[in-house]
Amino acid sequence: MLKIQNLSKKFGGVMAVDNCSFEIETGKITALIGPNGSGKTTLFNLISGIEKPEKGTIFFNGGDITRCSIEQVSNFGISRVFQQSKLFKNLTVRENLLLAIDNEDTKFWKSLLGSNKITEGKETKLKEVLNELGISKIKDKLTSDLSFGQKRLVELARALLNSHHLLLLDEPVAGVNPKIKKDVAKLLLDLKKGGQTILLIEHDMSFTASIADRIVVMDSGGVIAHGSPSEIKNNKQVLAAYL
Amino acid sequence: MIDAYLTHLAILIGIYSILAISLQLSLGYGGLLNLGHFSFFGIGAYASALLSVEGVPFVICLLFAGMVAAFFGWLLSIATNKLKGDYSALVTLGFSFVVYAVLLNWVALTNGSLGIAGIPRPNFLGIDFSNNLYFLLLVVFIALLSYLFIRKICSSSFGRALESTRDDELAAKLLGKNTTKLKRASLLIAAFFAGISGSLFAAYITFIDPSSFTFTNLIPILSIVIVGGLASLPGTIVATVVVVLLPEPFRFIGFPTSILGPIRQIMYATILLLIIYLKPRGFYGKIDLE
Repeated sequence: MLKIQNLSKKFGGVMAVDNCSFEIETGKITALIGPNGSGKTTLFNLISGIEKPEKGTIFFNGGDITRCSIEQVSNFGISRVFQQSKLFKNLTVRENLLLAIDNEDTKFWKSLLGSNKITEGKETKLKEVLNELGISKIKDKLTSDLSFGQKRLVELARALLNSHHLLLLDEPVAGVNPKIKKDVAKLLLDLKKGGQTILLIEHDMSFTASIADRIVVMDSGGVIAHGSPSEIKNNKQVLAAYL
Repeated sequence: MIDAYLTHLAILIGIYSILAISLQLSLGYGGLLNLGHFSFFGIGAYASALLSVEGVPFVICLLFAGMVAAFFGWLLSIATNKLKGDYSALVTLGFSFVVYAVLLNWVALTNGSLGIAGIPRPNFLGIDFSNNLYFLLLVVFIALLSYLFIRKICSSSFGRALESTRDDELAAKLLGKNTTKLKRASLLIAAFFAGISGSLFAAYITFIDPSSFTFTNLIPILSIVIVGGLASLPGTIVATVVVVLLPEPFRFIGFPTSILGPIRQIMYATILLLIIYLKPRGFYGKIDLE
């Protein structure tokens, strides 16, 4: 589904991503791990179109998306959750989610004349996600009034509602309480069962090992190992660099 | 006498309401600090005045004023497209100086510092709008239409997408929104309505010159938007009434006209500072002033 080929990105004199190559499979959870500064978030930024690489190619569903804009990448079906909150803080939870589900809202006359309506199907999907993540009760709250854990759940809900084939999750459970962590793990496994493909960055190794089918380990911008969680656990190079 | 004075104030409130709600659209909803907004008012006033002195019917002058201002709004959106925050504000400020310089120096078109005199008052549907009371009704009608149109935009899904761009442009892009298109549309519509209000201003005062459209004239309009509260249209209307009426008592104290202007500017600046310090959301604002 996603193929990273010889990708390199430099900031000043620092190689943030250095000749990085790997592939992720459809319907699997792949975890990207590595010490701080190993280039994981930069790689996410390259995939999302926020940064452009100096070298290399990103293929998504067979197409080259290396030079695509952020909105094009999103419209191709890559949905992302950031490490820091990127919620629209002056809008309610529901409004945040509607923005993800409504792909016609930039059409001025259609919106103005009222012909851009949220269909019943989309409304049902919205309710389902709200219930699934247990955030129905806070749907009319401003996102700026939410706790950290609630914000993470709303971010996840928004990414799920944004039409996608691949979910990019940057530390989805960092700083949340154990209950939310458990719920998120269950949700991600359910999503996988439903055929969804997920690429996530996570420092919590027990969380990662419990849900990931495959782990890609990065260090100093490059991929140093990849394999199943048990293979990675016993990899000497990984142990030296990270674990 | 008092009736004529109150009618005059009501007309000004009407014209400035249109200008302020149009600024509210681009600033409060779109998040673009457009320091050149008053230039659209000037462009609209000149576009309308130039046609109306040639005998073109008022309705055509009015729409032409809006369209010319919208065209310049589109040009400004191209210049500010890749810029954010302070840089974008600086470009719009530069735009206001360029427009002023053109109005002052393109003498063949604008008559330079002498301005355009003898702009006719509207006369259509058998109504002579030389009568200020009728002119007030016309202003109220256009202000109401403008308010309803902009409110419709703000409450639509387009308005929601525009607000998302204001809150976090990167996050909006990550949801697949074409934020360039959103910002461009908001600036274009805001400029259109500023042009409409400029046309009404020119037809009301019947004389315009470049000094009426300098950057400093934006301060009261910016005060209105901030006092009323960002992203609040009713707040903007309330604040227009307050800001237009507030300096009026000074007329009756007997200050010379030479210091009345500076007193107004000091008053607007004081109001702005007090609001920023004491009530950052203004009267009815939905978002904080950042």
